[in-house]
Amino acid sequence: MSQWQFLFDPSLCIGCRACEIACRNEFADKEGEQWRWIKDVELENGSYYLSLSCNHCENPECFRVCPEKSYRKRRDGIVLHDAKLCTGCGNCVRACPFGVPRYSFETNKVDKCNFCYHRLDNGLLPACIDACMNNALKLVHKDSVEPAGSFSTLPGFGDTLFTKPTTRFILTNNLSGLSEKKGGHYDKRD
Amino acid sequence: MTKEIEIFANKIAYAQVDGCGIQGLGRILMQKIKKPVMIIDKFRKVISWHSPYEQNISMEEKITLPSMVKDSEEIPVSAMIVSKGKKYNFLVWPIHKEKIIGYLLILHREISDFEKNFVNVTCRAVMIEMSKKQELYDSIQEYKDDFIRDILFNNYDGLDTALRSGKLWGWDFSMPYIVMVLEMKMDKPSIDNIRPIFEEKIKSLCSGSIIGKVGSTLVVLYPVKKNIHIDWKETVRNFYDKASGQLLDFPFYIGVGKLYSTPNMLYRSYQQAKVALELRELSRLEGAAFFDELGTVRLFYNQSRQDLEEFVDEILGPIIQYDKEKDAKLLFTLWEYFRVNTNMAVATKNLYIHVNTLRYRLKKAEELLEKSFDNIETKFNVYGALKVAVMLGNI
Repeated sequence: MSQWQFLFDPSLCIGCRACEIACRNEFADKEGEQWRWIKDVELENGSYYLSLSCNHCENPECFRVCPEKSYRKRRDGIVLHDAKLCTGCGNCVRACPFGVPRYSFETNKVDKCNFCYHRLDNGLLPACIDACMNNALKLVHKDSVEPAGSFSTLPGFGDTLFTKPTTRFILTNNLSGLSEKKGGHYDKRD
Repeated sequence: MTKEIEIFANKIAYAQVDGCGIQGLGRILMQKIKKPVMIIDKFRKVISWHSPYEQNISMEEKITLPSMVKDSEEIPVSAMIVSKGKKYNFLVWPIHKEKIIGYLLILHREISDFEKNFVNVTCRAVMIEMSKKQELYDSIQEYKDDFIRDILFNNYDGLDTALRSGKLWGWDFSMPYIVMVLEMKMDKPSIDNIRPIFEEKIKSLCSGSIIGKVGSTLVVLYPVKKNIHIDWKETVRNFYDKASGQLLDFPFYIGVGKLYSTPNMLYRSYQQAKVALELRELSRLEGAAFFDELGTVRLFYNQSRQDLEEFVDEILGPIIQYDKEKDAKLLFTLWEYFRVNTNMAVATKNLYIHVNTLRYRLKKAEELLEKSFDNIETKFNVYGALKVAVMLGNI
């Protein structure tokens, strides 16, 4: 079955935080939690923004370490967390290399981005993607082939060694401070 | 003449509508040309074998075709096949869709042009039947895979649902299962192409196994009977040794999770098996990798790359620097030395160096680190840092 994944283009992101706000509004009933945030990545020769949230990894660590079985992965690849089962032990918070699951001091439980599956199931885009004015954040449907021209990591993104995040990056325009490395990955410019 | 071919084509079409299958098509052709007809799939497994009563020849379940059959552009290809110790001359027609999906063979040296028409009509009908069979196989596999994925990703409502749904496929999830994840050592061939071969082999070695495809890996759930005490790790090791010995053309890795007595922990065992598989590759472990035998590597793997790099630099920094300056291969020597349990004889053999060279290199490493390898604390830290260096691809 095809898998949903985020495709992010840092060369189009202006750091307006519309995605952050859209996420907070979408889940306003959950005590103002937001599961997407903008990270300003500073490099020696430039900087760019990364819009980050759950990467719905192929090998989710949160899923493995949860003692309450509160995580599951849907057939379409979305990693869901059932807050009802969560005891707030924080194992997943410590295990995720991207710091995605967040502990709420209001609910004493952990929760995370659910890819707006309630919107997806009704044919709508996730709130963050819908809100992105510059089309920097996109939704792709991965079958077996990676989106053309995409790559799996960027400086500032985090470790991708074991969890295999499904989020992909693409560069429509050149980005200062980055140079292309062998194999289609990008690294800091020497 | 054309009329006879048309009548034969109609007969074949009606037989297909009646659901005669590939077996039936082979029989109709044999009755028409009065020569033995064999139909095999792309894995050379005999699907249909019919010979006239008076010839009474029996064949093996699987046959080996000469490589020239696949490469030849001439149709039919004349080939010699050995079955049950006897040699036979065959004429071979490859059955094409986009790729070769099977072969039709006539046990005869020659065949008339008139008879070839009947064979060609049958080949087309066999192609349709094989495609139908493949579609059916694919859709069954898809449903099975979806269900297995749901079990492995905790994507079901309650244990009862899993048990009930499992029963529909004939699987008993009330038993404990060993979870094994198989990954090909090379990218090609893709797992889809070789899945039937693996399934057949796995089922013959581990009866009752459930096999599913998740991403580019095959997941094997092997049931362990509760009331029989067995060393389940030994079972897995035997399976890996036998399977890798029999599937030499398709080398594969295997990661194994912990054995849990309840099926609702299968998801965790699966994640552990994947971690074991990943670390196996990165730490260059031999044989089947068990999650609960990974040791300290388990503590390293979910640390951030920056922390790991700092750790390696703190412990092995002077050696790395010396290697860079002198190209002395001290780091690699240390890794090989510790990897073989500090056995000098084996290490020198693996490194193709004299024992005195190894002694000199170890002494040099001790000098650089200003520590002795006789100290257990040093040994632990250096070996840990070496493993991390391997994980990070520095060795």
